[in-house]
Amino acid sequence: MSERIPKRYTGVDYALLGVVAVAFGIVFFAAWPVYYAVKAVGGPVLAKLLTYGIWFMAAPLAASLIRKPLSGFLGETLAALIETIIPNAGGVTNLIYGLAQGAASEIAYLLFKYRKWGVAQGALSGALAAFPALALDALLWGDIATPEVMAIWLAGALVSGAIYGSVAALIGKSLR
Amino acid sequence: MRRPSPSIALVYAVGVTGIAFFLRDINALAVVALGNALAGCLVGCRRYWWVLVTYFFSLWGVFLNAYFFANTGEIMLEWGAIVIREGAVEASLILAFRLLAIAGVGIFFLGIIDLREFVRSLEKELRIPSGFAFSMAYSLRLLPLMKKDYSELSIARKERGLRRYPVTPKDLKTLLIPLLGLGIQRALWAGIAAELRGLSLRKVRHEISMDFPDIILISCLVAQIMFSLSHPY
Repeated sequence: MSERIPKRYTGVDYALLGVVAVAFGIVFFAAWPVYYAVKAVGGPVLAKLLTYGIWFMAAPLAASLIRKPLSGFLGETLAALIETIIPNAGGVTNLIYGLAQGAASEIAYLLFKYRKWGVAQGALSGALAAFPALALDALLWGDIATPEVMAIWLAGALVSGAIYGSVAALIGKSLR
Repeated sequence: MRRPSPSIALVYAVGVTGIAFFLRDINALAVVALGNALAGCLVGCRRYWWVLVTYFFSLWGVFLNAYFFANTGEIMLEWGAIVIREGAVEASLILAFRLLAIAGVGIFFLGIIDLREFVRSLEKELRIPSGFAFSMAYSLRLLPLMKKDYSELSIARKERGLRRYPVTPKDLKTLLIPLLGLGIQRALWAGIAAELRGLSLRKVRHEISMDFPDIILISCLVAQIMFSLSHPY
């Protein structure tokens, strides 16, 4: 007999979402100077490889802690909302990125029909967020280069997302 | 003076951010950017002046980005090996004004809202699910507590010879596990307490009340949308 997936969110789940959101709202905010420093020293590829994944971590962590449908999406969105209300030059743009990245990350768990919440799913969830992040960079900030360069940027962001996504899933596993 | 509803302020901020992204005409973008930056300065510059300082620092990065990715067209300035072309200047100006509009409206939004009122308004006016609003309210309550936890953890990290600020994924893990562990302990009890107080049974009355400041803000947004539509490129 197949196991029933719990769907209803309880007060504890919402409170856990709040914890993930506030922790990552601060981490996201703090990641900006690191990103700019790495970009200035090592260029856009290294910056994407070393830092992009940080912004993709909230979804896999929230999903591996709460383990309910939409937990990844809600975790990333709420963290982005917290980042938005911590004053910074990015303003509401952070929320737009959070919504898109959260939706992409959620696909990783949807693909496994919300039955698996391991490190592999966390890595996939982090990696999938690279697609909307780069698409929004191109659409909103005009970060467009030749297809070869764009492919390298995408590879950098994917690898970064996978690494940080698996770290987030491991953290979730050790806390649960 | 009455302030606009936080939900209307959010709609305004999202609207202006959207306009900033889709406007390509430099002059029109400059009008939108300067208008919103002025509004932001009037409302929140005293509290959030450093956002504008960050903006001015980021202009250097904006120029470098444009120099590397859009340095095409006629030569505007030649200085040894450095050749600045029309495309780089145009791209820099567009990005600079876009960022100014976003930062300006961000300061305006934060300057005009009260955070607790914002959560209530999200639930009441924008019909955000009450559980999500609870998460948001709980996060706001946690901010000072986690800040305190973070400073204590930083001291402990320093005492143990670890880096004070996380650089590698491993650093991040060693910082996040205790920080989240403490937060989760609190969350368990806060969640149980919220359930016992009837969080799931709570009914929220949805209503939108439009007062004079809200109408002014919506009119400003509509005016900017009309203005942007008349200057597509």
